[in-house]
Amino acid sequence: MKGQFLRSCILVLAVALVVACPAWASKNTPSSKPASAHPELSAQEKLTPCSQCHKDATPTVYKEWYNSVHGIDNVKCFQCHGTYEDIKASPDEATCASCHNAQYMKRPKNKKCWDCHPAHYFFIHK
Amino acid sequence: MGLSRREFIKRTAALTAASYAGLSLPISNEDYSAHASDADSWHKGTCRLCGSGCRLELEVKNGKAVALRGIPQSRTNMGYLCMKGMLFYKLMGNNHPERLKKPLYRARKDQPFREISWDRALDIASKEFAKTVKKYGNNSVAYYGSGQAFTEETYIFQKVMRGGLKTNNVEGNPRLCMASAVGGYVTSFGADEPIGSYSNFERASCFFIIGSNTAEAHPVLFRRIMRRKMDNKDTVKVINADPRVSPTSRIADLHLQFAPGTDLALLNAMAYVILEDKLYNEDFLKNYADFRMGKKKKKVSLQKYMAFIKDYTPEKVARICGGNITADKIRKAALWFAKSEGTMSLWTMGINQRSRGVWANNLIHNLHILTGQLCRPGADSFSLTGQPNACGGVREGGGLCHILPAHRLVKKNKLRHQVERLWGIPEGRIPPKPGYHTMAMFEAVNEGKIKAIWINCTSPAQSLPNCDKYRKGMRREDVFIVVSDIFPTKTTELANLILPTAFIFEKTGVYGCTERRSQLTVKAVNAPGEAKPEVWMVREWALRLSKELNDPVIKKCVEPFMGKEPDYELPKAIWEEYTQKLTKGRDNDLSGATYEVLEKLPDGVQWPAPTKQWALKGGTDIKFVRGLDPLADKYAKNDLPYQFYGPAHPDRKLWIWLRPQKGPAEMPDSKYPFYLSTGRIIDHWHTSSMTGRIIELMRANPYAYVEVNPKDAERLGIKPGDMIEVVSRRGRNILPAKVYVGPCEGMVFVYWHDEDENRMINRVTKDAFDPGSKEPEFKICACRIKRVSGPRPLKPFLVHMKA
Amino acid sequence: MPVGGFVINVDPERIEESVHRLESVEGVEIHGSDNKGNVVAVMESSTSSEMEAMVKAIMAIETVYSVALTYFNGEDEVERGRDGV
Repeated sequence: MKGQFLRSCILVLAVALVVACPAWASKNTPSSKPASAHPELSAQEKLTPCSQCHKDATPTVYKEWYNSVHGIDNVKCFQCHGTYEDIKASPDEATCASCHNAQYMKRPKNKKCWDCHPAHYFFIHK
Repeated sequence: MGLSRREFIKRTAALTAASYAGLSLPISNEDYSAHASDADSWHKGTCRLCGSGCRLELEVKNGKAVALRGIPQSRTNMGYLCMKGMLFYKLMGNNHPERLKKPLYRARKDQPFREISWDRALDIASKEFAKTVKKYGNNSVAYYGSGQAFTEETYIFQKVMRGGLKTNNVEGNPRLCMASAVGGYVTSFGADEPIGSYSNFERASCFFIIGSNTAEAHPVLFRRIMRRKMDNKDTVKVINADPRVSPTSRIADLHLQFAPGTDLALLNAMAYVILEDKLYNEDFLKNYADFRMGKKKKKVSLQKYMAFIKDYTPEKVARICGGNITADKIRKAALWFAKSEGTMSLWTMGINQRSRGVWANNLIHNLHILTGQLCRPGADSFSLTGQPNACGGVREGGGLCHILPAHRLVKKNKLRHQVERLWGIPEGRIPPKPGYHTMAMFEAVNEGKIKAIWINCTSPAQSLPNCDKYRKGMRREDVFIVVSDIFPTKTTELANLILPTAFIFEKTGVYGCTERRSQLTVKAVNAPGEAKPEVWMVREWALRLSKELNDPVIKKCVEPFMGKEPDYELPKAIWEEYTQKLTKGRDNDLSGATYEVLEKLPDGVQWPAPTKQWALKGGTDIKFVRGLDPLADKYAKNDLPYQFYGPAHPDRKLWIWLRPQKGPAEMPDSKYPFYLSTGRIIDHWHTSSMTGRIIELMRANPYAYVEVNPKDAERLGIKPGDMIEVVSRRGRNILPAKVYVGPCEGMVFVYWHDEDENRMINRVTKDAFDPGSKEPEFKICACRIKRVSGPRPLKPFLVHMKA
Repeated sequence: MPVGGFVINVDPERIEESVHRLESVEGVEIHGSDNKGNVVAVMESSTSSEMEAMVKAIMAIETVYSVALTYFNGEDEVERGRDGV
């Protein structure tokens, strides 16, 4: 009984998210951008390494990452994208600085890190 | 101004709702971001969560720790951090609600804890230790410390125990991880700790990684090896020797998968090939090497060594090793090893945690001595350390029962009396006999011979092998246990007195990492509640002990530190005494590495560093090389470029040891047909009392698994996620299965971090230990496995304080 | 303590009155509204069943047409479940 309303809401929400996604992006202003675009998961489901689902959900991204230097050196999804409470599709660039502070400091200010180091491949330069 | 987490969630809720309705709200979550530009201050320090010694900066805003980033100028990590290093600020100050904040006490272990004042806590601790000493003698008390304590902490603890309480019952968890490496370095090279440095990563042309899952245990060092390999795909070779295929194997050109416990044979077979194919370095052998055998360290000839090694033909050894080993693979590995411009061997617990761990270390060193793969760029026999201060604090600071500060053996009268003189205490105060080593210490607890023990910054109730056996002793009502730590653990569950301690960045002190490098972390945030630095606790405790026992010498031990403010001045005074008095003139001379010097550097100082000028340059990159090591010049006896002046080899030679193959203490048999091995996973560290409390890390690996080879899984009807019972002669676990080409056939592998009683693998492991180093054989025992059910929903588990 | 983000649809003619009435429900915070009758609300309660009761109470307000959950966070409930509290 407990939580039935919420559970059904979450289900609707998950569907709505998938449907609403494209429309969303165009409507967004920076201040109303949602922090999380991840479908809601149960507490148990949240105890799953990101890569376990994303291997199937986003196989191309997974493969790119797995074969990149980040993949080989075990730099995991959550280190750049956060976890469920603070997921960001595009990471905060300052997160890159946790490891790449020297490069972050001298980067061209009109570009994002991944403009030159494509996301999930992370070549030295594009 | 940062948002609270709850505030953040509420704003997220509002923003998400608004975006559905297409509404703009006049709020944002940006100021929750850990990296907002209005940083208050950044503070240099060292990572807490492995032995690499990554340097990082902590961002503090309004007194709160909010982010960590790597220091690009640091010679250890070059700015890189792993996920643990990025996130452990979440445990600092008031960031984590579960931090221990008040001293807790119970007279009996079946009672609940009560909060008490520090005054009362220190009274209880001193009265109990004093009472025990009076009634049962000085050897009935003990200190069990940690490779995670600052050097200042280990040093003052052992000073009070030895000089004050007149016992050498001083041990620490490095006995469980590094003791065999110490034994190996001392017996092979005459001096503890590696000759070279991480700087060899960028100069090596061949990496021989054996018994180390570097990719997960030392991810930031692994990055440097990976980079070296990827930038020089054809010219740099990586050999990975391990019974388990691990993420480290991904960069390997050659994977040698041998059956557990056949490592000594494999290493001897490589030596066989080196001798047979004349790949050894004759000049190097002539100038620097000797051959030794047996307990009496008998000197033998090269011919005798050759005759000994004849027994280890690659063909024969390939059969002994099983797995994927062939004679060709052994030959290829030996050839690459010997012929490369610079070969760097790397190992850790796979070699050290063996009942013949010292021998295994010796046999790796043998290969380097034979081929002269030492002292030149890229050539090094390099043991990786698991804890941030196992080297600096415990190996160098006198944190084991048989060693005094600065690599002095307890049993050497001259060195012991030297320490007594330097401390200004009467000669004969430190007993000449080493105390109990770790396994003997907890056996003595079991037998009621130790009646009072102070356990600092570690959790033996979970980390000892066959831990149920030792938990029984720790539960005894006649054994008084003090535990100082930052979170509840399996060990605080067995304590009488819990003392809440300050975490890194909440106090000041030095960590000495794998490469002989000492690095300072200065206090940047306040400890939560009433948590205190250990150095303060020990000083105050010693003063009370001195009164209780009416013994002024105990007070004398802490006299130089009286009246010092505990957050900076006190540890600084301890460091000064240790470096200026105790290390001066020793092989780990740190007298140039004062706090002032350490604070100036982005990283730290590698000993020997006898002067400030030398220390300011970072110290000694490669030991024993004239022109690079000031002590090699100072102690030079001839014109040769290398001077092996280590204190343990008066003949100044490197010793090649004749060490036969010896299997593990327990072999699989018909009743227990599998090898069980254990190890770490990247997201968690040790007993996960810290990493388990960081939600990102907990979610990435919420519980321990048992890895089963797919062939075994098929034979036993095991599917991924099935619940598997792992049983040994000691105990049992029930864990979910990971079916994975990791462990070789006939072997299972379990992560050891989980605190859940059903998944705590040290209830199953064996407490056999190396007769030389006394380090237990965590890595091999016999077990049987059985599928008990399909997948079950599991919950992560951490010990919590009962309210 | 669960936190939920909701879009509440109310009678566009009676927005001010609706917001006022919604605000009087304990644990409800109103973050904004538009002229089409969309109201953004955040609700906080000590258990999720309590939140369901709040939703019911809101539904009972005559100017409210619908209540839609868009965000839910119950992580500390999960933690408490873990502790066996």
